[in-house]
Amino acid sequence: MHPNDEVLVAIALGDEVAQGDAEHVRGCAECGATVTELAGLIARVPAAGDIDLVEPPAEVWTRIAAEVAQQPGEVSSVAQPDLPAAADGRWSRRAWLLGAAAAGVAVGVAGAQLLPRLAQPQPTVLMRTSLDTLDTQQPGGQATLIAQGQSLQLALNVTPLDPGGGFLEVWLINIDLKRMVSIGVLPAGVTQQGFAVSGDLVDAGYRIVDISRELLDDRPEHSGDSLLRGTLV
Amino acid sequence: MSPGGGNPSHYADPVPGDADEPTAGDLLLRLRGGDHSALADLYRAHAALVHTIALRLLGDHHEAEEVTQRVFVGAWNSRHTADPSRGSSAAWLVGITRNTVADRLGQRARAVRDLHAVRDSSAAPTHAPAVDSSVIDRVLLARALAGLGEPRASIVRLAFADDLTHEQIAATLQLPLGTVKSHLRRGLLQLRKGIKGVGNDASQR
Ligand SMILES: [Zn+2]
Repeated sequence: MHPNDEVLVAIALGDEVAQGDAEHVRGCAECGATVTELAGLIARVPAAGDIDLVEPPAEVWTRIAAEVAQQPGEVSSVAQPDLPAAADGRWSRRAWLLGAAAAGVAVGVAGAQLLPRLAQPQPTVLMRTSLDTLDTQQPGGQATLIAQGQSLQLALNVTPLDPGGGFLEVWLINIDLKRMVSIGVLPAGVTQQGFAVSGDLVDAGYRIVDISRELLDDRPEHSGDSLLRGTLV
Repeated sequence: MSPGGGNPSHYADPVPGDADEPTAGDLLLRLRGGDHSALADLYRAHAALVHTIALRLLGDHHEAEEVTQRVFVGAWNSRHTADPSRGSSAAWLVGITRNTVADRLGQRARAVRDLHAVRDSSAAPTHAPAVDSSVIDRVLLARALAGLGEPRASIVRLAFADDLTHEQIAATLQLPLGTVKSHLRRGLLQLRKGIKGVGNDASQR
């Protein structure tokens, strides 16, 4: 008996399944083909994830309706479709950021645990970037800007970083490369941390995520010793 | 576990409440019957899909808009060929889009050939490039991704495009690990369902 789709998709995702199911799938061409199909689908997500669907301008429908209405033997009234609002884009960040700005989200620093866990709306990735070393562009992790409820937070997933004799500071640098703000400290040894940020800030162009090594001195500005950097898009 | 061991269990819908196009058959039947509002509904549901495919294949806004117009006028004119038993309305429109874009590419090639003919009568004929099916597949998958809703779409992207582990996604989005895994499984099945029967599956290559 073939296992159901839930089991096959678990196998495609590399999750553990019951031994009997795993054995069946290894010996069954039909189930094997489904797992292969699902794995192929996974491999195609990156290329599709970068495509935004684009609504045609409103006048295209006007022209279609006019052309169809002119045809002989047809009723001339063509219903107007309720044209959809702007396509529900990949990371519908614009609308969200405007809303967040209007709600006056404070600029601040907080650990991920401090943020209220709001049930609604669902957490949604607005922007993201890989974080790479400045010199050799080696991958060092990911930064993800996540909206949930009225809060906006920057989640970091990074390889373990060496603070040297000091500490690790997380910055948002403006894309004009002239201004920057510190959004918090990444504790030594921590590879996963969230930082509250404001929509105003991101909207104003503070989109370059930078993790620097800072000395324990009385100079609050950026040390210039950047370990990882990436630009949120 | 599926009862009976028959093959239909493979394609049973395990994701509740995401039946796509519940009225798709009705829509095509209404269109066949000459109902103008069905064309408007069809446009609302699929204009972005048709337009984005044309835009990606032709790389020109003006031409993409013209193709979109031709596709929907063409759908109206050939509404007697709309057959719900032969596939979804999306599959039918994507087929018309593919043919319309192929015509455009052919016109372009002829224009280039004519240009060569003026300059050099021995120029070899220029063949129209084939419609790139992988582009259509990517747009269809992008549409299915957008249709997953949140947080499922974000989870699927973080897992498959950004290669975060399930544990990292759970921590990043502050969701339980089991929830992340469940969204991934259902999301993947939804994606498969969303592109099945459209694009390459439905085209006669
Ligand atoms: Zn099987």
